Amino acid sequence: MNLMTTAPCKTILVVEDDADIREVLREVLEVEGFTVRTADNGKVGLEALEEIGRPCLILLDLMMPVMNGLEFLAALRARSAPRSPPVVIVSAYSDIARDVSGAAGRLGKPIDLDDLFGFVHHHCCGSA
Amino acid sequence: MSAAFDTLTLGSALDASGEVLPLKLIASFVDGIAAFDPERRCMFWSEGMQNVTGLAPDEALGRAADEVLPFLRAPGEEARLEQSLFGKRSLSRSVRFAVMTTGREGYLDVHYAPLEARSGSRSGCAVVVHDVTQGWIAREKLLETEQRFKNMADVAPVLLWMSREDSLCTFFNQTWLSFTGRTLEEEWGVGWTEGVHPEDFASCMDGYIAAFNERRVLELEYRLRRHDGVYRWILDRGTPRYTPDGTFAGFIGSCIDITERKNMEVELRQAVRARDEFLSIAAHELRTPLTPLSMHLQSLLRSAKAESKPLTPEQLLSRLHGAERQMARFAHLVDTLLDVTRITGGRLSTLREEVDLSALVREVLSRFELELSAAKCTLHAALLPTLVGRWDRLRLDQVVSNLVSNAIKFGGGKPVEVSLEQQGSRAVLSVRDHGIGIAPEHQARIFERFERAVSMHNYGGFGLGLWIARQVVEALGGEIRVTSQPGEGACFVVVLPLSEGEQPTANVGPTSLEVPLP
Repeated sequence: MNLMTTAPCKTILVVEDDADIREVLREVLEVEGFTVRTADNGKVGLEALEEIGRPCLILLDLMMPVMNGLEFLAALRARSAPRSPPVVIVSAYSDIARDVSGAAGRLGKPIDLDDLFGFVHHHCCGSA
Repeated sequence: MSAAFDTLTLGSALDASGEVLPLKLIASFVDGIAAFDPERRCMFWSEGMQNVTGLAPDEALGRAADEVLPFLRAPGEEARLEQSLFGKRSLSRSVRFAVMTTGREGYLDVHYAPLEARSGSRSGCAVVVHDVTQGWIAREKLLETEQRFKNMADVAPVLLWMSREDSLCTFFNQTWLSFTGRTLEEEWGVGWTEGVHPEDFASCMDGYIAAFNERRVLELEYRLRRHDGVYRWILDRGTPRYTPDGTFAGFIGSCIDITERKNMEVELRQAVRARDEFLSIAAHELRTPLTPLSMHLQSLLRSAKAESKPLTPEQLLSRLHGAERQMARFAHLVDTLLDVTRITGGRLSTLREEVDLSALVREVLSRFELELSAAKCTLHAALLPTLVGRWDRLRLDQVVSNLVSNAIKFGGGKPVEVSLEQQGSRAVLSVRDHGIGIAPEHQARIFERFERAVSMHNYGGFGLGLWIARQVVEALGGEIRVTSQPGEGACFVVVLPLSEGEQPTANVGPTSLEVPLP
């Protein structure tokens, strides 16, 4: 999938505690023309949302210190429902990720870039 | 002599109807019958008497009573004979006697009865003896068997019990009574069930009653209170017992203390669970570096296939460096796993050389600079300019890295303090964070293999770092400990003797390990 034609300036929030994964996500998404905000836990993620408003997509890890993915999701729903930004769970624990309700999708680790860009295309490059 | 007997009438006990019994019949009784005149001379001596005493009639007739029946010399017997001779009473006795001819000892039931002549005048007394020796021997044997059983039961290293056909327990051996510290009276019947653990009571009773009613072998495991109040796991095996004629007589059972085995089972189950959990964690941890590695490679691939914008040389280099970094990270994880097998296999060897611990700590800290700033942790280091000892450089690097990495990981973005000082012949390194801290109940556990004080939902990691650190420090003759309060951070202290052979703990009390903060 080629996202080169995607309009720039759309923001994606990456909430992930692993610095390496966070940075590589940032790099591949920035190369595609997106603005990427990162947070290393759910609490920082919520703070980032205060600044950037509604991103077109949130990529959310589950296992994180301070505030984990599930707690982040619950807090997000509480504050921005019904216009919650779409959240794609990124987790190596497929069994836990499967039990998360209300997510727009799930990505296993290692992340398949085609799948990732599939979600990105769907949520960030449509008419929305 | 026998003609004289024609005139005799036997006493009431021998002939209640008053009829004269034919002498031949009397003479052939199995029981011994003798008659004595008022002078106590033997007037009659039956075949039965010969069988019992060994004296033939010819030897007995005309002789004194106490000569032919020596048991009459026993205290009180003479008086009884006297009563029969001159009184009107019949008397029955059991006596022990010695047979004259063989010297054999035996038991007799003896009956004395007055004899009256047909005219009604007193004419002596009859002595009827019934040999009960066989019965007595059988009874003595039984008593001896019972005593032997009791002796054996009391010295047996198992707890023994016996119940009757009505299921009430009537016997507990000394081992049982010593174990429970109760008396037989207290344990009797259903008293013993008072010692059964309340949680096991129902299953114990149900199992016992069911086996009892079905007359089948029972096998129960339950906790029984020991004399010191401690409940011990008991394996109780019982089996129905029957009398020789096949009548059900109750149960007999033996118990052994299986607490150690039970505890081992629990430990084993925990170990298996810990291993399973660890495998799942290990898989996750190993996959973690694969995620960015794979993304770097996919990104390169997309660029090469012109599916995305061509990467600039800088971006290209960044991808390749990133991939390389993840490979190193993966290799490090695999090394950690190999350490586990090395340590558990007892193959953790240390290579001692001269190491400047101060320089080593500085080097590790500089390696963590990026990570510290990413986590927004400021670093305060108070290190001696130099502190040289004989240690394993690579292993110590691993220990310090683990502690610093933990301080960042759990430090919650607050300052991390590292200090190194010398106390006598020991180096004391402390790494302190101000993060989530460790609850007291977890503090010992975190140095164990596969253990973690935090939920996997928040923090990744093998749960091996501190365990490996402890193994390394101990291999170097030192020790590692932690002081912490939840929410107030943790302070890990490593005490290392400067050289081999030094004791790590001497004169270094817990208070002296409190490292002053800069």
